[in-house]
Amino acid sequence: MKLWKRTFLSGLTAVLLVGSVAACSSKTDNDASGTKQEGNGSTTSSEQKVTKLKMLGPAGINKYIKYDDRENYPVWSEIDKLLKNEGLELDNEFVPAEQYEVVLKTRMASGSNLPDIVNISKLDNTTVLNLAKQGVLLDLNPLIEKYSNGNIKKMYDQEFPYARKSTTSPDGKMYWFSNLHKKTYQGKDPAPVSLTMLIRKDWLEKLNLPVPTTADEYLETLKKFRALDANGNGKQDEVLAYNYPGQFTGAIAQWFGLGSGITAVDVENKKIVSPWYQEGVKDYFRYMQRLVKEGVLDTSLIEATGEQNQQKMTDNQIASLHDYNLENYQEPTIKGGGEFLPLMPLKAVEGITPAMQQEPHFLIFNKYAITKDCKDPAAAIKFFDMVYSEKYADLMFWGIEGQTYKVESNGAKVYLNNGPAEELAKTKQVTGNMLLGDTVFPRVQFSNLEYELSSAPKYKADNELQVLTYKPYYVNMNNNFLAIPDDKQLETKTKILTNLNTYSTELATKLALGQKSLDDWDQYIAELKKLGLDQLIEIDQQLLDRYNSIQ
Amino acid sequence: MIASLKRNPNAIRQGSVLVDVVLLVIALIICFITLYPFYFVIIMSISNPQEVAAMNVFWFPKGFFLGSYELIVRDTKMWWAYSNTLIYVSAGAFLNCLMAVLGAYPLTVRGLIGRKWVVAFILIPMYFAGGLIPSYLLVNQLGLYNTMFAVIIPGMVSIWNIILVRTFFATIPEGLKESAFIDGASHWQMLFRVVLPISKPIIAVIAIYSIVAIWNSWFDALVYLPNEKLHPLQMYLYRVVVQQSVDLKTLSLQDTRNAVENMLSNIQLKYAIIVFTTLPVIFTYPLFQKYFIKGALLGSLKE
Repeated sequence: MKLWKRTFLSGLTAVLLVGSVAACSSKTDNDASGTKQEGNGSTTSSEQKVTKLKMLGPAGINKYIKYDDRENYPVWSEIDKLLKNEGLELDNEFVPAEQYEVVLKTRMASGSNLPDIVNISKLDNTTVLNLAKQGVLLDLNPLIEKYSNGNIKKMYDQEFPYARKSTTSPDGKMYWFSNLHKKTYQGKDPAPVSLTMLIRKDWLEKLNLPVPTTADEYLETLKKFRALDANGNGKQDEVLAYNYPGQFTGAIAQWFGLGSGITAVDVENKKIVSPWYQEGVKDYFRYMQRLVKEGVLDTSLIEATGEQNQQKMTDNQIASLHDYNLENYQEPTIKGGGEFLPLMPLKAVEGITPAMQQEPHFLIFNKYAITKDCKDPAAAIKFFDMVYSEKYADLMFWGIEGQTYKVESNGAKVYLNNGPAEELAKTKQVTGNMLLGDTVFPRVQFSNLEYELSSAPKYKADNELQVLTYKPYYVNMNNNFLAIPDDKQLETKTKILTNLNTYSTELATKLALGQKSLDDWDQYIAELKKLGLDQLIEIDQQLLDRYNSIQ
Repeated sequence: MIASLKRNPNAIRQGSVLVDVVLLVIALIICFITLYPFYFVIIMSISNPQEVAAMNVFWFPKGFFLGSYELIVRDTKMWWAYSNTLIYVSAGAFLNCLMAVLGAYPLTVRGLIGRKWVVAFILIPMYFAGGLIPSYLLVNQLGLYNTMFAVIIPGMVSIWNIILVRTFFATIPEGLKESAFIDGASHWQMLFRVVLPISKPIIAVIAIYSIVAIWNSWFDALVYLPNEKLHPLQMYLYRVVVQQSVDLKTLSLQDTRNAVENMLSNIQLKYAIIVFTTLPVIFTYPLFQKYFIKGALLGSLKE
């Protein structure tokens, strides 16, 4: 009996001891990793006024280049200098990226434990505007007017005028700052890249086949790949990986002149279009049915995950796929090696100029907001003034001259090290983005095409040079060209999209697979109209008009 | 053989080679269905990473590669997570037992005023939880957020365990308790000197249930522990799996490059981590199997 009691009491003591030690050490760990909970915003020292800003954001996902080791990286010393010059000290709370969405949503919903500046990229516009209405997030415009040294305005108004268009809310307020990216060629020309169909170049050469120049030739080439066993494994398993035939987001839909979504932005003509009303839509479905009938299109990869695609890629089965024209990450994963040749848009129907799908030369993405708990908004604006400075942009995107990049004789910047992250972590020659990007440090990127072309094989570089001026085109990120909807527009859009998206995708997938007949076309269009397709086009047109009208 | 079956209608009871074979085959199929996933994970974790990415491994390992294990063993985060899990499991299991015993004993004392009401009252939270945001606010206001206690304290009282222990206590003969009281024992002495020593089986059951539940839990850590140095092992596994399921379609060219690099290096890592995190529990399972069975039986007893 006594033994039992002794065991029980010593067990209790041990657990309490372990618990309290663990809890204490957890605080210490927090401090060590910069994940502090204490601190009330700003502190001052007797010599120089140092303002402390509490920041909340996701941690970087790179396994080798870690924020915790920042003191070892030269680029951090430079960025730290910029912060010190502004009299800022950051109290960063970095949450693992995979966990961040849950942590952010819980904290925002409870309205407690808020930092001064928060990365709210994981929240959609509706949630952000609701939080703004509740007063959780501050309107930035008056703060910029009052406290900014002019950097923010300069960057937003002169360098990235489209940034205001997609971040100004319907009431004229602005609740978040963004990552700003633009890519130019020869210092001034916009440099979009394309999302296109890529085909196995090495197989074309091996089988002595010409590069297809029309949609029909493309189909014939894919058939020959199978018939002649291009991968040489004795099976007819060479396939086309085309994941989303029902969403019009693969490049083949654009060969038929179709928009890149259920509604799509025709940037040049400032018009919203829907593939369902476009001339080439029936031909598109007929062509997809041929691809399926010939066994070329792998139907098991429709709506497939990245991992499923990767299996076929590694197994050397993918003859053609939809991807960036300048991609360089697929080839090294093919067992036995291989090369992908990007195709320009292929002629598919007489009378329709094939369109291209492109990633615009500018991107506005991610959201960084100032919260109601910010004790010193002037310091927060100071932080963003630093972010939107040329020096910071250079350090983040290009790093340090002579270490991570050099300036060519034509004035273009080119990276010096393009090795894998593991190697860069050893040499410490990394850019600010690699070390800090997408955490609480916004990315400002003045990219150029020259460095992309210098590391791409000639056939890809040649393709890209044709892409620069190709028209017509649709964009892959339609929302980047639409203004933020007001409450009523948002409500109607959400209501429509819930059913319309499902119906449209299902219908288009079944039509592409030949499971539904094109004979009942009028009936399908009537159903799409009933579900609100016309209304959606109308709202998106209003948003595009407002986007274009915001100065 | 068929003739013998006709002569003997109860072939199972009497013994029949045919029936034995059928039963053996069924048992083997069930064994295969149960064990194959474990085997699959193990061979995936040690095969050549390219074959793993191509999903070419089904029956035997293809190639031999321990790089993923090397990566895990060298990862200090994994060891942090392991040690955290040990702390959560040991503290959580002990506190669960303690709370279950302390909660159950008064409910078995005859003459306790309003005993039935108390029992009814404690049953309510078993069916209706407060919800995520109220729980978050509570944890935050108590100052537990981002500390180890956020995972240990809210989970240390389990109504189900209290009911289980109470049911067991109720089977202790009343005469035993009365004789202890006649000898001058207080309730504390009664609990620790009389009741607990003969209640080891139920304590073992609660401990094992708690150990397994805490070992496998990750959601509390997801919500309450933004600091990765406090994460348990399952949270570490969750992060690897989530990291791999990024939707490449929504990323720009530059981000796609980084995401693909990450995805590829994680495909095999996932399997190696599953082996690493599951093995300890699998090995302890046979040792405690009899308590699991006992626990299921105890739960079915009536007062």
